[in-house]
Amino acid sequence: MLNLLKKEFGLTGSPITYIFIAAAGMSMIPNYPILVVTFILSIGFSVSFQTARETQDIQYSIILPVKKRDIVKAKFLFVVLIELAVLILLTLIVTLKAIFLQNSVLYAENPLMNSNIAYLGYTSICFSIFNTAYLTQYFKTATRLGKPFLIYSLLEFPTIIIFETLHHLPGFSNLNSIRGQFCTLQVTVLLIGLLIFICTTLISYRVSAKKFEILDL
Amino acid sequence: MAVLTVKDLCKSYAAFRLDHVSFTLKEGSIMGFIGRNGAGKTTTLKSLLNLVHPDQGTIEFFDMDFKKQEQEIKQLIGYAAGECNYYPKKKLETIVHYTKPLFERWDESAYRNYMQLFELDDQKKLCELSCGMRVKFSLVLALSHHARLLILDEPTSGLDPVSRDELLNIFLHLKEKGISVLFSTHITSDLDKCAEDITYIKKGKIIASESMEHYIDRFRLVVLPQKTDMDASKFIGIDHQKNCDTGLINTEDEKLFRDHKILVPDLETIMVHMERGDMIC
Repeated sequence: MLNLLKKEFGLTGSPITYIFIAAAGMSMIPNYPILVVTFILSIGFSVSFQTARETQDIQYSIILPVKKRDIVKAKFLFVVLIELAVLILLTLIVTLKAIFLQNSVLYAENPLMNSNIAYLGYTSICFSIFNTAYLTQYFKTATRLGKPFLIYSLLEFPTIIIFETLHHLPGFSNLNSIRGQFCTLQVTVLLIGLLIFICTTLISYRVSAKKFEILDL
Repeated sequence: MAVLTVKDLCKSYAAFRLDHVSFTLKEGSIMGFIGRNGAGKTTTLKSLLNLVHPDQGTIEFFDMDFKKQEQEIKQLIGYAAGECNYYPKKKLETIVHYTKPLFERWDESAYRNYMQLFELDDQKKLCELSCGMRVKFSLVLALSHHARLLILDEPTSGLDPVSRDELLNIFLHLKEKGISVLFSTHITSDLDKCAEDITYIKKGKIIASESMEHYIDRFRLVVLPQKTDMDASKFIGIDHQKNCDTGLINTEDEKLFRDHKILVPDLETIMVHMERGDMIC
């Protein structure tokens, strides 16, 4: 599996995908819908999947001494590892903001979402939407890219809107704080987000592997 | 020992069906898989490796069920579908760098030898190679991990006559080492050079799977006057030539045409008449 994963990163991973990891830095921007970082990353993934299609990566991978479902696993791992890299970067940013910028007026008066612990939970859920909507649709045909991205977008945008408005609801304003004393609610959101990410990604992998097994290439 | 046993392989599409395809490939033999365009050669070969998911049938390599031991089997076989079009903007060296760790029996010196034999430069990108060179590279990948069975889909297409001859000599050399080769082609002269067995597929059905010599010996060619008015149902197929017509018959019917010139056909002639048989009104 490690060798197959190296193949993913080396032969089909587009530099654009790796560059877009740096989009995590956009979570520092006040008055900006910072959840779009996940959408930017999904565009990066889409470029890699397009590269894979144009270079006949799937057809090549099938003739290698690997099981058909291992090809699905490698692609999922490729996506998940990059998502985890972004989550780690975001965690770093959230930590630095909490330590050095917790009294910043810019963030205190930010009507849009601040990058905090709850934001990490929202990001995890947005990633799970990509893994579920895009990847399962992709492995139905291993060639069509427009429809998976459309379905993903139709789910992602309303989700971003809901999360952006959540902290404006009565009783939920603490969700947007970058100060430590409001951690409990935010940690709850983070844990729920991570749980959804793990569960949906595992289920999506199984569904994708099943679809891919019967696919004619 | 059979290195490949295919039994009752079926696959249905809207306008085409592989219908109970069955054949066996013996160890250390070279089999030509022939048929006209659209007969089902590529679909069959793809089904062997799960590129196409069969509706039913069993496929065994080296007495191992492909469904249960896919990974182990793929270590022992090499597959090439004619021209290699994978990762066109990558250097050959890069493609090999990520491919070879996956094969337990990758042989770097064999790889270097084949690259030299085929005059391939691994610093070149795939898109910089000609069609024929890409075919050669796909064969290098297949040959460099000591596969015991090579499955090749039209490997000689796009090759110049010298390279084609080179490749067929390599097949003969591999046969001496006990490696089996199954290759599809419609260049029947390739089979004359190196294949001892053939499997003939027509409209998704296997109509013959036997030694080439025995298959050819089953037929005779009757030379007929041009625009003959003979009953076409007496022949398997009739072909119209410039100065005469020719009709394919079974060898046992030879005595019915004692007044005519009888020839022993070659494989290409048999194929042409077989296919024409469906077109006779």
